Amino acid sequence: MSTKTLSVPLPEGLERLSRRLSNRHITPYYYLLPTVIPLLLLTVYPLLRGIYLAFTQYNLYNKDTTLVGTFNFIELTTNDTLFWGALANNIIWTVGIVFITYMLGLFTSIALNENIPLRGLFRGLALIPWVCPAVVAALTWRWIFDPHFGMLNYALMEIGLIDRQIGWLGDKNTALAATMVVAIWKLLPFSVVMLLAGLQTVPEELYEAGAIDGAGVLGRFRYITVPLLNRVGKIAILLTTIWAFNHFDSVYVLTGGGPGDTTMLLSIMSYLNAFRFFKIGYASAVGVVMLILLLLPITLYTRQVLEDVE
Amino acid sequence: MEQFVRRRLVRYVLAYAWLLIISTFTAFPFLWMLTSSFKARPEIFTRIPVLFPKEPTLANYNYVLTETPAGRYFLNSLYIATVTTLLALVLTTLGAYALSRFQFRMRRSLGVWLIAGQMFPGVLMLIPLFVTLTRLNLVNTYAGLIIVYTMGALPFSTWMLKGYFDTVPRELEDSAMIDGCSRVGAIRRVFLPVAAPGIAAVALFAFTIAWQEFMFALTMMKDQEKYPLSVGINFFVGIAGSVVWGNIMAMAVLIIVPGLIFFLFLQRYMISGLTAGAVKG
Repeated sequence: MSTKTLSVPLPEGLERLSRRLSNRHITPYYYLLPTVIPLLLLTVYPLLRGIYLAFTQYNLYNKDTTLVGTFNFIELTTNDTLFWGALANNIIWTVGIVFITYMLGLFTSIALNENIPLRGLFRGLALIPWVCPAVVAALTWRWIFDPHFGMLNYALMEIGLIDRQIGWLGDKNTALAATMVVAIWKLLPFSVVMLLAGLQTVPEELYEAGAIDGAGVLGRFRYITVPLLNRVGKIAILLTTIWAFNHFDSVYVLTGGGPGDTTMLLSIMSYLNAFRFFKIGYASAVGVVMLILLLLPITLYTRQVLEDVE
Repeated sequence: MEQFVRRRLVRYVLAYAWLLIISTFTAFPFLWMLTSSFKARPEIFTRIPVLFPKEPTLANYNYVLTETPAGRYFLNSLYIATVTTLLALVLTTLGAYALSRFQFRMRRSLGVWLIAGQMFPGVLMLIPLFVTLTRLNLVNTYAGLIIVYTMGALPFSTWMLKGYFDTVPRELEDSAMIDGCSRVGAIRRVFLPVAAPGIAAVALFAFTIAWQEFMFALTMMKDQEKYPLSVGINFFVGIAGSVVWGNIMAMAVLIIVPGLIFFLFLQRYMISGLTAGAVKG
């Protein structure tokens, strides 16, 4: 393991170069470059290019790019009958999913934090949607939602909650809610894992101390659990917000934006414009609008994570 | 004391009741998928849905594996996901090690980028990547998808792994280096074995991304025989219609099984890796 294998002294210039290359300050870059270069090429470049494309009209076939300024954005906000509806859907969809996923995740993680038998089994069952690709989730739920052969209608009619078959995904009144159920199903495991990890950092003694000091179940929840979950909770909420807002797969498979555009989300609108109508610049403009709306949650999330590290 | 026991009992009952409700919600679709994949046609189209088939049959699997390209899709997915995982492992281990162990300029901005990099709208990235990959003749190739997926896995994996590496004491390599190891030797012999659980989590994460992804694959792959499973199953539903639920569910089981096996083995690592950055315990 000797480093003196080179007995012949290197020429002056090479010697200095070699010393410089093994310098402490440069070493990190040997490790980083293979990661950083692809990262820059594949995230920074597309991002900048995507923003640039939003100000152009781009033809996919002859690769003609014409700068059109803010034309796409003006067209989008003033002339496109779909845009405002899709934006509203996106907001309802995101807020609803984030709220419900968080509440379900909170209750589930609290229940899983109890030292009960079969806890491992229940944890596994709660996390299982994680391994299910969104496409498969969408297809399976599509069958469950089926008006004639679906399990949902059958079960609800058996209990007497509804008296006729409902086409959950085909009915304009229920389609958005039905797609939300599938997204919540897919996002719940993450919320459970995060909140459970947060709960497990709460020492049992704290609850005992609280109980001795006379705090009831609700009091302990309010003054011990909630503040301690604050940080993980924030991260879980921000991430769910970003993921839900960007979501594409399951809605595309479930409804494709229909019926009557009631489940049209911004991501679907952008996708259809780009790859069905080949309006690349216009589709990029929709993407840029999404990015602008996401800037706040992305900033908050990044700041939160960095703060935790430092 | 009696009151204490009673309270505890109430808590248990409440916990069980809730867990039963929520696991019905999360696990029912899986049960439905699994049992339906063994159903013959008459049991699929019944007014009263049948949960467990009375005469289970392998006909759906037989049909899917012999009459549809599902086997081909499976191999495509396996190839894409495996190469993505290997690439991601090498790249993230190097990057995360540097972020965890060295001080250098731009360290903070790189961190910011890693955290924020995974948050941008997928469609916004998809369009320029599609345009660029078209120019490079990488559309409709496995390589194109592998590049995109590796990119997708990189930022979060690197950050997650850095969090894990931070928990491995620096003295470990230092003492190995004092004993005469080079840094690379110290990493290979001493550091990596200790950091293995974190690396396993990254493997699972990268594999899952590549195995489940849909939107990019849908856009990039033109030839049917190059479809990965996620696009393949959707394509199959598109041409066969929803009348063949038994077949579709058999295909769905094929998609889920590898992920499920991975998950069962690596669940603990995945969870500790995911929460390492978020929870300081």
